[in-house]
Amino acid sequence: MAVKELAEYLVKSLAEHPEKVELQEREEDDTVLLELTIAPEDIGRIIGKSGYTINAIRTVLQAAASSRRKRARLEVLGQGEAALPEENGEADNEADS
Amino acid sequence: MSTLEFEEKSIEEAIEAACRQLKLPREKLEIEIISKGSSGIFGIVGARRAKIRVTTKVPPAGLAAEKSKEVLDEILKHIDLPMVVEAEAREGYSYLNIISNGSGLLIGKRGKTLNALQFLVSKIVSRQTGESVSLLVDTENYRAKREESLSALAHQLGEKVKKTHRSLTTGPMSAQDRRVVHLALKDDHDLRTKSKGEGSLRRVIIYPVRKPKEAAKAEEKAE
Repeated sequence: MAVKELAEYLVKSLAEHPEKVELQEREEDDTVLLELTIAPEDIGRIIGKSGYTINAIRTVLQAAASSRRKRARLEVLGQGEAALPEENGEADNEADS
Repeated sequence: MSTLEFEEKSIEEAIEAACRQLKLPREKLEIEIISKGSSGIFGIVGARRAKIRVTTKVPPAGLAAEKSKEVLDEILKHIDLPMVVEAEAREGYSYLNIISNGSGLLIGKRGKTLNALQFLVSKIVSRQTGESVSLLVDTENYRAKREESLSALAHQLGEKVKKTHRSLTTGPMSAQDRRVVHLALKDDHDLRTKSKGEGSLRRVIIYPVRKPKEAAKAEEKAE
């Protein structure tokens, strides 16, 4: 599915360890849910300052999904302590849509 | 122009590696051989790797625009809309114009999608070239239209500040948008502008400048 391919391209282009990028895809109704696993040292880079990078990725993924009348969600797995900025990003995204 | 060094088993392999990393065909590279390398005796003793120094022949501006277009094309390929990207190297930045069907999907709320595309393309290209690139991603003349309306807003707010002699604040704005407001009021000597706030909450405050006459009057009053 194109949304997953796009996520893969974006994350791999930004990651220091593209070989460790894994994406799981699930589809629920009209929503494409993507779960991302990356090298721990890449997590900060992919999330970015106050979630700036991950939110930009989500926005572009949403555009790709919208062009097919779908919705897209991207979650970063296994962040432990670093979970906070991403959750904030989620809230922002939801408030926007 | 950037210069890089590559070390591989043979010169041929080193050149290939250079083309791969710089994403440029061989004709666009200036190649200087530092060491030819040798396989040594029986390929074990005294094996030396081949080393080359590569300088890109393409001027950085054109290269950045070309690279940026490539990355943007790659992203847009996954969006199900008819789209063509025009790239143009402008003074100090690359301008990428997306020609599409005008659905507004690429712009998003207040340019959110356009800004996300711009941010990601510039990040990816900077990573690939090792140099920071500055670029503007546009569609349907959105950037110019937005600049026009922000400028108009700045002037409206400015008039109000002059009338009431009280400062006014814009909503939270991106650095790009704040710049437009500052520039719009730059030549108005009755007003002064300043940015305030942190991160995504930064806004522009427009202050009235007290005229010398009024200032003198106020001083008189104080005495």
